[in-house]
Amino acid sequence: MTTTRRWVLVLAVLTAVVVLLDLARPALTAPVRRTAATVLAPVQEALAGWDDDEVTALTRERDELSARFAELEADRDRQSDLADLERSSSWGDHELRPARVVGFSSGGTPAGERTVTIDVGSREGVSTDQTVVSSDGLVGRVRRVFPASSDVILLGDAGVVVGARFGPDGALGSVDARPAPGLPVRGPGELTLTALGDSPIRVGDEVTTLGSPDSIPYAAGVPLGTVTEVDPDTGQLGRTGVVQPHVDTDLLDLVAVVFVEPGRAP
Amino acid sequence: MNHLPAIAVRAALLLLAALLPAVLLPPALPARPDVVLLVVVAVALLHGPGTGALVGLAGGWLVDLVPPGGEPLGAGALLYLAAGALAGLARRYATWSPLLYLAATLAAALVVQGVRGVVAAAGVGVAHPVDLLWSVAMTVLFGIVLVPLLVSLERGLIERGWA
Repeated sequence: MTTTRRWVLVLAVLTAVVVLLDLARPALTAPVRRTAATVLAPVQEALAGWDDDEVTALTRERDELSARFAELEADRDRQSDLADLERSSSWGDHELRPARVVGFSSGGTPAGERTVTIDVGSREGVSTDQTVVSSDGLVGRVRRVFPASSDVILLGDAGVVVGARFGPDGALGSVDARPAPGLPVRGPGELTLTALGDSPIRVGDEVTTLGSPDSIPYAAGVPLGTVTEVDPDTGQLGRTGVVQPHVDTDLLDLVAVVFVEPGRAP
Repeated sequence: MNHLPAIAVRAALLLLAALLPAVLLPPALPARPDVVLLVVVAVALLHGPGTGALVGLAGGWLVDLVPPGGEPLGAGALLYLAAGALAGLARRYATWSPLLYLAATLAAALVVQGVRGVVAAAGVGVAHPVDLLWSVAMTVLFGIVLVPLLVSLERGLIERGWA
């Protein structure tokens, strides 16, 4: 009995040391994660791959076509509207690398995280902060890359704050999972849109990503969500509204990592 | 007495519990049950707080390490250690009611999700109360079936003199 207690104490202290180390010097604990990911990625991939091959191939094809369709639609809209040109949506210049979700973050981690593991990694050329999309819209960005897998931090995690455009005129704003204090309570999965300028937010406004230089971390013009509610004006800085994201992160299966095609400057 | 087979069986169970739910369970469930916690509770119910804490620590490390894992590394391990020790306290009252295992499962799930809620309220991560309650509910629901199965498996290990 005493020996068990002693073991618990020793191991708990060691674990606490690891926690502190991970908080203070994440680079020191990175090899541990890398080893775990390298060992477990093939297992996770095999477990996720029990599906019928043809169904997988067809689903992949459908999602690629759907993404391509969205690209072409975005292209058409861009050319038809002068205001759209200014947004310089470089969405059409990207290459999509299909990937499969093979692991979800556990519901038991102390810090509520929304992350998934996908089956492509540095061997396929993935690097951190690349955008991840599905046929419905923005999924998130790559957070950690391992040889054969990567961890993706999802839209709706506290670490994902996306510059966005909303409404028919493409007004600027930002989308955050955590509402500023004083705003009405959000439902599970709902995000908060904060307008930067004076443009009004209306229910039904489409929200797309604003984009970043070289599309890292977010490519421009990716559909993100729809405004479902506008918060009453209670003196907050900038108008705010509730955004329902297009992508249901619980049902993720096939996604795509966005690559900027080399040699084609946006 | 040789404990190695029991340790190997528990390690295999924890690994399966960490890997399988992500791919086997229908994604339409409102929340994923915490199967790792159910394994920890089953062992703790038979062996008390000390062993419960050790198995909890091992299970928590898996939760932290199986990709995509958790941040910071080791925090999940400490949380599951506490949950395992708490469930192990129920062993003393095991003769009171055959439904005690449900109370232990509920208590362990509440500790894990409660800490998640408090941490989110303190500003680290996002955890909606509705999601947390669903998570507790699904864990207890799966526990109704799985914990007795795991307990009888553990009993089998004890009878063979492996645990």
